[in-house]
Amino acid sequence: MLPGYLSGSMHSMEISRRTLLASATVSLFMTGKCPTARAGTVQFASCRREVNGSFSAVLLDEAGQDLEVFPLQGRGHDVAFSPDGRILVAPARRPGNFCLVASTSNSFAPRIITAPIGRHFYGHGVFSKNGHFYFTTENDFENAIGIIGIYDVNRGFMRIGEYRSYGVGPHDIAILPDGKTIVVANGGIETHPDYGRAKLNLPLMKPSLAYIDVENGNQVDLAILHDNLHKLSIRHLTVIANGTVWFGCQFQGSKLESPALIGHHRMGEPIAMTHLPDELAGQLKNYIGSITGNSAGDIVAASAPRGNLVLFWNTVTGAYLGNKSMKDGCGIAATSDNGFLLSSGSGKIAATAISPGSLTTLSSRPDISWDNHMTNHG
Amino acid sequence: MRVLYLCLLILTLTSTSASANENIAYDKIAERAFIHYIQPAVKKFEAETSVTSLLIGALCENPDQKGLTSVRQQFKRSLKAWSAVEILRFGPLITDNNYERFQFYPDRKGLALKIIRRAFVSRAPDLINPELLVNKSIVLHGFGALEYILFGANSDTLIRETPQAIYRCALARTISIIMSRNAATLRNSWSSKNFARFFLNPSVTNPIYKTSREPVAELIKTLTTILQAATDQKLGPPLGKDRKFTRPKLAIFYRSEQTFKSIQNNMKNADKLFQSARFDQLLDEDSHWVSTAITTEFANLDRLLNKLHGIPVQEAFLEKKHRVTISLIRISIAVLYDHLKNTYANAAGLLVGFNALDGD
Repeated sequence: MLPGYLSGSMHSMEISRRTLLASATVSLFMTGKCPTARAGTVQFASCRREVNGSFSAVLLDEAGQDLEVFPLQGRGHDVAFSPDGRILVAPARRPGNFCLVASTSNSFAPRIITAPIGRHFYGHGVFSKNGHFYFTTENDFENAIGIIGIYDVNRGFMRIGEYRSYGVGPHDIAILPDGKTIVVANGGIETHPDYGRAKLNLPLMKPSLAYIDVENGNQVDLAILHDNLHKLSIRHLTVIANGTVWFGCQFQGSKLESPALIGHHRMGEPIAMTHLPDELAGQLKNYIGSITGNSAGDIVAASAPRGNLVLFWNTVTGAYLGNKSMKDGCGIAATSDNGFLLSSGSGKIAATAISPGSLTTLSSRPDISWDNHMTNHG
Repeated sequence: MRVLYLCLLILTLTSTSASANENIAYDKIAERAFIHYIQPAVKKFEAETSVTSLLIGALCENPDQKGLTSVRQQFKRSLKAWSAVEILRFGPLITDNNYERFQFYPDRKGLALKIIRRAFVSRAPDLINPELLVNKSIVLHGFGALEYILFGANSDTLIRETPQAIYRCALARTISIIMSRNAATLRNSWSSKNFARFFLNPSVTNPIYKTSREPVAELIKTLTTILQAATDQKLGPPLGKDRKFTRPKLAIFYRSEQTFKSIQNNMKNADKLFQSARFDQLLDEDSHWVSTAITTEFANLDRLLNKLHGIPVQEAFLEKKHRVTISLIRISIAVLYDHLKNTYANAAGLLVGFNALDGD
């Protein structure tokens, strides 16, 4: 059982090693149902606002063209692919409580799962390495406790339990390459749906990166920023092949301050923040919207939509490499040629052929708005 | 070739001139907002908090009913001045937790009440020393704590000379001194040597405002923030989705019966800021109607809030007739929010990026 947490109405679980590591019974949602659909193609997904103001999750090809459009009942945020690429899941942006589950190959009809009473989604989620479970960040808003909801893919995405996120306001979430550890960005900001999107605890924020055992929900490590950076909300993260977590922050303090917004961390070690040229630091407006590594894992790209910039770092040396200008650019996904696909709130999709090389516009539709994140599979 | 150069030169000069004119129009908005709204508001707030502190001091020296009545009235005047400053939720007011110091709200877990009650029991001497209280919880630095002491349970005992009453009054005096000092700091932070230097002089070397549009976009953002706070934080939670979920004690300043008055003052001041800065000057002829629509809706909102004058909070949030009024107020706020955030911002070239919202 999950120690020290699971009493009363809280549902606990321990995912057995056998369940976690072994292959499971094939179900409607699992591999095998439709083996050939779009096989071999690289797919991307992102949420967006449509021309008529409605929202959707969209499956795209590498040229930025729509493959499938799945209507959403409200604004989405991020999209996660299952490891085999056949399922995409799009949880609602905070404080929404719906989550789209759809097939990328038309093997089942799109369906909506709903957060349980007393919980809402934060817009991010991740599949376990074998694809049997889906983990999503949730808010236990009455108690102001960050939660990782656990959904069983084989049982129609039934919610089978939850873990603590070991912080307040969990946002982005990923699995380390060992497949055994969840890493979650606890933004540190308390919110409650009764109060809209208001931040209720700015003076008391305590953001963290929490590492959690996939099997039992135990805390493996908790990385906390120095006290003088307690208003630096850790929001988004990406894990590169060697297990290093690169993360992007949003600063809730004075606009006269421009702290480093990008950092990296390995379990058991202290957090390291990166350095930016002084003339750039203020241009980011203290806001990073998304962060992703390229397919080789040697370059990380982070978007600053308020500053209309996408910035690049070398993950081996930690050196800042340069930036590209893109108005309201935010979504970033790795492409097969080791570059990045970028999307913007002003309807543009562009590619960097060799990161951080030239920016090539693939599509431009000013009447739509791509949401904060773009994800790839393939 | 010479003709081509000449054409290019004229084109460049024309576009530079147009751009410069456009910048002047934005700069003027910020300047008018500063001169006609921000400066008077922070100055008035400093003055009112100072008077509050003096009157509480006098009450503690000579506790009597007249003094208590006078303090309570002055608290409301201070609150009125705060309603004008509260809407400026950027720059100095959100630095060093200043906003939360003046107004720790929403206080969902009732933290202020717990800390004050604990103080009454402990009668800790460090809490009635301004030099020491300033380093304690910010929950004890603002209106919420002061309101409880002056209007909350057993507040009528402030006219007595018991040890409990003496401590209660001393705590009120200490809080009011801190508020007065913080209000003076806030006024100074807005001076032309400090934050106003950045607000009024956007440039590429300005650490906060790089372009002339940015201070104006900041003002629009602060206006929409106060609208959102009024409906999402001050009206929504006490109203509840139906009568079964009504929680009037979540309402701001319900103990001093200033809930609706303070919201009304927020809205009046938002209208005043919009009009005194002449935001309409950024609109072309075709979109000038937006400014009229905003002013008209503010007037409609004021008319609706007038209907709640003198209605006790419990009754207002529970009785059907008043619940309807509150719902209409929230609709009116939603209309204003949309006008400002989308229609006006779009027409004035101030639209905020889709991916640049807080918390995403």
